[in-house]
Amino acid sequence: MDLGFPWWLRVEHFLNIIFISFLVRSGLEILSTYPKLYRSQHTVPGTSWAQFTIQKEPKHKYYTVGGEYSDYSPRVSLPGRGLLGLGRYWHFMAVTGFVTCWVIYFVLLLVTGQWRRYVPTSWDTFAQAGQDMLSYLAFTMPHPVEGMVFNALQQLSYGFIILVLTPLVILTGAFQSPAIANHFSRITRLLGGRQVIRSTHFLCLVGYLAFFAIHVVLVFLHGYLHETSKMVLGDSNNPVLGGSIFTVGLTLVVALHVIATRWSLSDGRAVERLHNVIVRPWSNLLYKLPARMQYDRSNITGKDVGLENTTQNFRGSGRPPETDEYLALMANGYEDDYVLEIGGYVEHPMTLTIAELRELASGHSQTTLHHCVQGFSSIGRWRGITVSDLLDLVNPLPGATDVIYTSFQNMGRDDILYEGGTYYESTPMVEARMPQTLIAFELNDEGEIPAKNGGPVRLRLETSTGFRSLKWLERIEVVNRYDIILEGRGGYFEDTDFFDRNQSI
Amino acid sequence: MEDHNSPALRSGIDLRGTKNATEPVLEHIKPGKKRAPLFRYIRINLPRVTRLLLVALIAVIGVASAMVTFSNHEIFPFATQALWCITGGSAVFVTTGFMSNARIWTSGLIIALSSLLVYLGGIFGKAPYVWNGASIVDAAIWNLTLFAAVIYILLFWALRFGMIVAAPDNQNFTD
Repeated sequence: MDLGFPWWLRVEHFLNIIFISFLVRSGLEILSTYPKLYRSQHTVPGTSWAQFTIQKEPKHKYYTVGGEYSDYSPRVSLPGRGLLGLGRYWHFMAVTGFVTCWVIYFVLLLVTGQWRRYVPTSWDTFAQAGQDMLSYLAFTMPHPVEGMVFNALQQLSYGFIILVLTPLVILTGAFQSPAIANHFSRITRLLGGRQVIRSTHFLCLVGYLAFFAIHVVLVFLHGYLHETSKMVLGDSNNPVLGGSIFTVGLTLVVALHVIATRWSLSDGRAVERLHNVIVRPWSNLLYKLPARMQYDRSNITGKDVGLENTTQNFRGSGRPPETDEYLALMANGYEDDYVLEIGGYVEHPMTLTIAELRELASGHSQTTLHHCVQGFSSIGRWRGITVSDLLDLVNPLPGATDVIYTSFQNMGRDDILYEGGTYYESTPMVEARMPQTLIAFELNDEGEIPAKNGGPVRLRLETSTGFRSLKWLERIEVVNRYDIILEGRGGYFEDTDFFDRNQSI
Repeated sequence: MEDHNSPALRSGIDLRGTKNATEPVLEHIKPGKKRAPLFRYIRINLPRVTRLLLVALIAVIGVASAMVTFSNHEIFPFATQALWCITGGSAVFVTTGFMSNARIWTSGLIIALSSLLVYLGGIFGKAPYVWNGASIVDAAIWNLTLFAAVIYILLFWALRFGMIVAAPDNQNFTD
């Protein structure tokens, strides 16, 4: 068959330039907020294999992950300036286009027989690829194999990028979603756990950049107009026209990046609305994936990978409340004074002490991994009672749709990094009813939850990124709508920053 | 008690009395700038892999230089002797690299620069290029000395800049 350069292949090639460049820049934005990569599923300080920051954290003082943001330039990352929420929005919008494009492309390759352009049908291809490599090293241009549009080395490298690297980057991207990682737990383990997946995802980026650099050099060596004409017109009969159109296309891509960056920095809420239209239709489907991951004890201690002190280092990602009320509770050891209120749109509002919570929980625990939205992870064993069991006790009234959790923490008062008021979160009833949505009162073997981790009582949402697992829980309210509370976006960071309430990715 | 509570002090890092004791510190930012130069943001801590890579590059230079001498091309006067010197130096370097923990990277730079010098000499002489009548394989091996030398020089720069480290050193990350 004549492989050539069919129109759909050329369109896909151009769309990929747009999607991949957006993915790279927004991916760097996400990386910038926790610019450290690890070899195991633990993020113990000092054990990273790479850091992409110039910041050294305080050596003798407690610091939160919120202060580990690195301020990348908007010329490098999208949108830059440590705006993680907007970086995530762009990443997920670009992912939607990229994965759709790849799936369509994959199907078309199979249906049209064009898969032959990437998949070697003979072992000779590998020997020929070696010869081609020698030719390039000898500064000569190898020729395409008979009936092919590429030489054997190009065939193997393009095949690797499209059929190996791309599925790998999609897989490692998908498994950074807490909902997916905690639902398909065996695959998560097989891939090495959260931080190994994150590192692999980064190495895929390095692979794309290396391929891009070599690809561009070879396009110039083979002849810019000649090669880009094939990318646009499908042949090189009119190289000036084809090359000119391609150059205009590249200029358009650069313009798109400039517009996206400036638009994000000036009107983040508009980007958020666009994200909600493009991403929510599929991200909402992840509510159908309840968390079912359970780690074992060796994972908590870090002995599984020869680390020490991982239990002590369950990261704190916020500053405890600085009120007389909370400090008094802490001073008295919580047990007698702390009372959790559960009320709102329910039949039987109630208050529960920690002793009563412990009795109701009857030894229930879950050992899970904390998926910080910035990137760190910690594994902990939480004792507590599921929100679903609590809801059964209070019996929500017909029409109840959401559960609101309010913290003792006031962000503007307690944490110098933020402004604003009381920290709160909300879950739709489907998320509240998930089996690992827990009201926790004990962590690991330390007994009560330490203040930095949200003691005395906190929420655990294992299908969501970490900031929605509200700490220092004061009360729970069942409601029939959440959109009339404060800014109406369902939580503190949702209201004051650019984070979607659906944080299952 | 103090040592027990400070992971930094426990690992021998005492910055008490400095700004970094209680505050984050941004490094490498020049006066009047908001950010550091781009490459300052990259710090890779894979010392053994980096050591292996550096030694392997010099090994490639040494082996390729020896093979070039076997191709019987008169590149320029005394080129064969120069190439054998590079091969000999590479053999010593590789042996030292694998058998000890010595920091030999400047010696490797001398080998890489020598190889690069011979290559540049070859451009003005009669190097084994295809257009000078050499086979594809001979030309590829000749150019391999160029690529390996250039990559080594770049990695040496990255090493000195602090982007990468080679065993026995490491980045000493504490965060």
